[in-house]
Amino acid sequence: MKKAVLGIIIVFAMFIGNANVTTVFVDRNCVEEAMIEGDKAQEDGANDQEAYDKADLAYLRCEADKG
Amino acid sequence: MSVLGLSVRAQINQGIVTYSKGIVEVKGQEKESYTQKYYKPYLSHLENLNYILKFTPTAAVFFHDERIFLEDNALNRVIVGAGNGSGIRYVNFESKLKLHQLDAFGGRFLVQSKLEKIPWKLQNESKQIGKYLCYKASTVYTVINRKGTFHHPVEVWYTPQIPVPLGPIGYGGLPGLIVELNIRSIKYAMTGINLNPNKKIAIKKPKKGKLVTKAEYKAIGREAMGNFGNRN
Repeated sequence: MKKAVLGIIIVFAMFIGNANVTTVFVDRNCVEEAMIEGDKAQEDGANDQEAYDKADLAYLRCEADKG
Repeated sequence: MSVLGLSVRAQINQGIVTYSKGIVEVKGQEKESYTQKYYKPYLSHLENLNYILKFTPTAAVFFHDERIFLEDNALNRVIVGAGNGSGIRYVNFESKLKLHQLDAFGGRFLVQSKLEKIPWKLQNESKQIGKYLCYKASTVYTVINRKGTFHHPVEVWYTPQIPVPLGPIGYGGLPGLIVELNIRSIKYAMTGINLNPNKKIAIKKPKKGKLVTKAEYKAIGREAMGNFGNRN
């Protein structure tokens, strides 16, 4: 019985461990993604308004993807 | 009245011109530009966008036809804004005053400037667009942002057959209406025209937003872009 409980705890701990890895993997930095999009737009010669709007869209999409 | 020529005014007093917006396809182009790549997934949205130019002897206004998109969201702001298409552009030929009402950086602005002569380079090239014989002209649109100074070519096709010196997104001053305008991989193309309609055209001066000069607006933009990373 003790062995069985220990087995469940180990499996649960492994699941949590994997879940954490997965969480880290999907934990996107939306501000950073937005800034990258804004920078790309500006490198292409976009004015501030266009760059801001593209960054804003990237940010909102990233946040929506995160759920 | 200087902007609408005297001989022209006798014939064309007022009118409504509609334009569509799409991506410029350059034949033989090896690499797509960032703008082309960016807007490609939205191509159908872009092509369904209509812009309206209304003019009278004293004023003109150019704006996105809001009947297409009613919802104000981030994607629509990007799509409508492609190729400097945001907001309402108003010009008064008597006071030589320009106003650009637009939503940007989380606020609404009324950017005021003087009507200035655009330094056009008239080319010898011509092409037929629909029933209009059009001539090429070019100028440069300069952007100064955090990454540097960019000089974007602006290429237009105007027709002396419609002697109205106006066009999309505030461009004009040519010896004919701008039928097609290309700026940063975005093309505005005339889709319809109604000259001297029976009903008198009334042009309202945009009044909404914080009144700022161009320089003030640029400073707000620089600050907004700089502060983007501080959101949350």
